[in-house]
Amino acid sequence: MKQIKGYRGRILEVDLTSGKWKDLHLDESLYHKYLGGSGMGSYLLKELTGPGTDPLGPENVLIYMTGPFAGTKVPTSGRHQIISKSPLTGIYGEGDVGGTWGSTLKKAGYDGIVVKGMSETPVGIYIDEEKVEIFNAEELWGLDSFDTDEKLKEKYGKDTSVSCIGQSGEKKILSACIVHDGKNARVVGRCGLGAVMGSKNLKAVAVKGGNEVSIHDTGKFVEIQKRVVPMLVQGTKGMKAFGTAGGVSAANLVGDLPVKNWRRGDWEESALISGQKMAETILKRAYFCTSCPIGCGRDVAITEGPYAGVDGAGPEYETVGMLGASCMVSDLEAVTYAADLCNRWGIDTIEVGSAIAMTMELYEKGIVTDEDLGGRSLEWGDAEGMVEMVKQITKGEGFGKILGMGVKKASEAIGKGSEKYAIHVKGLALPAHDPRCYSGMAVGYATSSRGACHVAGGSYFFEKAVTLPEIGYPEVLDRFKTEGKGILNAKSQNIMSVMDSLKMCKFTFYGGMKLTHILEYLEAITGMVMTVEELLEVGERIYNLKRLYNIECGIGAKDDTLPERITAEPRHDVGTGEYLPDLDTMLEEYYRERGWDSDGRPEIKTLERLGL
Amino acid sequence: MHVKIRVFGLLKELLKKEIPCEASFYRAEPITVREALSEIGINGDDLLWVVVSINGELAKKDIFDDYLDKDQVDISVYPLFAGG
Repeated sequence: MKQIKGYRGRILEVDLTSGKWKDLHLDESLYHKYLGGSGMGSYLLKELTGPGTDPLGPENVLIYMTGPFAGTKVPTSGRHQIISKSPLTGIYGEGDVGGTWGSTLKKAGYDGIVVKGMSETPVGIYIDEEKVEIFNAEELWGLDSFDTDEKLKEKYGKDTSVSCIGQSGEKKILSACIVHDGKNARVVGRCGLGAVMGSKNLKAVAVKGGNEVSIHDTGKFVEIQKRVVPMLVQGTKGMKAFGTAGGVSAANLVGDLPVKNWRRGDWEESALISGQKMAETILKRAYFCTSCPIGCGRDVAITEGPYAGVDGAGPEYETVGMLGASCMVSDLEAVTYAADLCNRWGIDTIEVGSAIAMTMELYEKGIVTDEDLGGRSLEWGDAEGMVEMVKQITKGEGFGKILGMGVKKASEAIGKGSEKYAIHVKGLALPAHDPRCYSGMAVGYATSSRGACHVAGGSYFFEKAVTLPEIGYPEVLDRFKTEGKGILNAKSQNIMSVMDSLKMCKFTFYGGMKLTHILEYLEAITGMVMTVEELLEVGERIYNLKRLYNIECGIGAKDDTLPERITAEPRHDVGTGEYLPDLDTMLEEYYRERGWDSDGRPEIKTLERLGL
Repeated sequence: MHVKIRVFGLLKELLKKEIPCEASFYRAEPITVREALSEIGINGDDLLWVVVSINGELAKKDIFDDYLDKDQVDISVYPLFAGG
């Protein structure tokens, strides 16, 4: 292909069954159609897998993809996407992550990696500017993600970036995640992609590289940076000060927290698990991903007490929301310790927190008993019990063996009507934003490609503070209004698909980033010139492609739904009162805006317009 | 005491109220950060959504009830977003 600036123009394909690898050179048109990251990954996944693919079989693929900005100083561009068929949900799966790994892969000379097949013994993949190797990882097997990172840095050098699984991924626990950067723990948490890695006997992918990425127009790039970076720094200083958990008290005020397994929207103890509390007690410093001017990550340490020994990434909002608020555990150190266990062993804090909160409710109702739990109780707010359950889940032991399957499958295994208390969409647990607080999240969760996902559309951004006048949103939207939320989600999903493909952090919108800034960066880095409409059409194409994949896997309108608790149980709290989202009306509007039929299938004319 | 307050980012959008981007005033007696912010309309629950820096130092804890006691105080106010 003709080399487009910003890209390397080659993707590494590694076949673990044969132990061979080769470079793939995709047609230039695909870079224009899908940009990179999630877009290119979804294209490759659809080409390589399908409805008959066993997510934990050798026929599944694990795809790492960067975007055109990785390896440059475009703000927040040090991110990458991992894409695969999910063993947790059985449909399209992916995760977005920051840290150092994506930009390092790019500097090693690749846009992405496609891992195929299955090794008979534990292996790792190492890539630098000179070579690729598949190495024996038997000595790493059984280590947690932090120790694995350290061992590989000892072997290949401190400037090596490591993507790996912990023991939960090795055990193919369905909630297992993929961890990057050791104790800084940047995580592809959702969809159980750590189990896919484990099924391939792939312990780690280590990369090292320093080759600069060539860009189209350096002068233009420098000029944009001078305007945009200071704006982002100023606009997001709150995130640097208190991290994503800094807004816990505000979330409590408006009814966004999933308190008591989504039964309450406010909680008098919420401030005890906030970013402010973290800053007063265990915070060491802010953590910045590569090329990030925001610094929302937390670096924490617990030096004494029952949870001493934690020294690394602090919990994010979603984590304190699920392991804290949803379980009503207000002991920040216990939540931090539990999150640290999840990071070390490599398992999703959202799915785990949701599963434990569900179990607390089942225990309250007598559906789960002391005997089921190995002779212990599990009351709301039981920090010790929550930590014990996390240990069991990460190790696949005791009752945790059931919970590690995720809330949907776990509830089906428990039975006795427990499915009613499993709060998920398409098998993926809801993250910690309630559609009874931000109504648009109702249709967002219901139609997200990977199941309940808050960042696939992120419509709550536009119901909270973010405006995008370029696409008709000059003002923040009414968070309880129904009309327009279907259209909003179709548009915001297209926007976020672009962000996931360019691999930029969505928090840039909080800092005032507009679509025109993104287009300026795209032109300066790659030379691609697009209008806002053309950019969003790329996002629309990507979203429809994922939908087609899911339709082949059996997904339809019947699955675009929400748990009854969210649509039928008001919480009577200060922030939301009696409000319940009208999902049916929003969905009808959404399908119409998308050009999908009443069963949620893209119409032929929609696919033709998008070149699918 | 001369107090200068500057507001950054999407705070107006977040609080859904009109707030001046910049304001200055004089007080003969020391006042708290809370009282100073109230002068530009940031008050009550609004404080859950903001982070401040005082004379260039970003607050690392809740300082709204701390007194401002210098002759010249520059307060910068930033929005605080929940969640990721």
